[in-house]
Amino acid sequence: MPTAPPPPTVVPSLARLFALWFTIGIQSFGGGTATQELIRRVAVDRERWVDEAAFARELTLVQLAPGMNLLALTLLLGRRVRGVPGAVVSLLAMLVPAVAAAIALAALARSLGDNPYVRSALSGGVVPATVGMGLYGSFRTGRGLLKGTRKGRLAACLLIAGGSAATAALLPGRVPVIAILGAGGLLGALLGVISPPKAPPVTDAAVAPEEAAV
Amino acid sequence: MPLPSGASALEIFWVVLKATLLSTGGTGNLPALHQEVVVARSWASEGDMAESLGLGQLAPGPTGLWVVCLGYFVGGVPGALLSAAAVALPPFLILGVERVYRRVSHHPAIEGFVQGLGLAVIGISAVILSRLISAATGPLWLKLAFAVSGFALLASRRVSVPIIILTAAIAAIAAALLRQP
Repeated sequence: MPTAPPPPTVVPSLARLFALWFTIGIQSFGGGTATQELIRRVAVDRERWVDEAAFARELTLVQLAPGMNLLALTLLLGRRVRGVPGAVVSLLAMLVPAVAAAIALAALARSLGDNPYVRSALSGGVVPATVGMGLYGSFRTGRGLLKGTRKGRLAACLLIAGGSAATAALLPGRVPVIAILGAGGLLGALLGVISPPKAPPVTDAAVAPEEAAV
Repeated sequence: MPLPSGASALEIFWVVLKATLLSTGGTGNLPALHQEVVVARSWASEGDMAESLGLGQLAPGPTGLWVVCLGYFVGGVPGALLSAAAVALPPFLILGVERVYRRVSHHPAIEGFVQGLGLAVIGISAVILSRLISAATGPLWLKLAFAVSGFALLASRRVSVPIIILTAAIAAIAAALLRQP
């Protein structure tokens, strides 16, 4: 056991850990929030690896990790119950079915790509609907990022988002994306030093229920 | 092994790894991947990218796995597997820096950096997503109707993502049939 927090009532075997995460992996249709809810149900409600507050803290923490937050969450929870091997087994169990399904879908889309019905369905329907859903996802992420932000800082935040959008829209390909992202991050950090981003430090418990509500 | 797009397996891995290491969240790597894969290297079209995002929503698991579909379009099964590895590795960093993160995660500069980075990603992604509309086929009003419906249905929280996608697919086929003389 690598960490001090309350140990789970029964330490699961690696095989059981694999089975649990595999089930999460194949059940999790519909993206981040749905998957997060499935994980919460297993980790908090059923297996009691962590309590609600600790789970909320992990959720906040994984926002800082590079890449998919849910994978970082899987790793942290896996390590909590069975050390690093537990982390690796949990991640693999969740990823293997999902990656296989993604490859199968992509291959299917390609092999049926000449079929006019499939073309219409994908390119005429799925793509624009996904754009709409992606924009909603951005909207929600933005709302989460700005939650609890002071009014005076809000304008500066909107300028960062708007400035990045304008740079990408008006100078496509001329300014490296990494430069825009870096500028956004540094401006945010600078603002943070000048005036702390959040009025009262946002408590993890206040963030979590809304995120898990879907 | 030569890949259809002319990309080498190692290059795909590196491009995805770099984009993922320098971003957070499942679609945080969208801006960097769009620039590298579509604009700079022409490994895939905007249409491929848009389709990957759609298929990624349809597949089980985290939506960040849309990158696996993109990897497949760029380099077949090897491309897909390498992309999967490249998005799976960066989260491991959390295991090494968890304690540091716990200590700094409420530091104003760090909170500000995460906020600023996230906002920049959102700004660029909104532009790229809107541009992907033109990569879709069909009349503009219909595409916009699909996009607005996707946004609204997801916001309503009453309909699950796969249902929205399948409905859009069926509606698009119906619309195409109606347009035929």
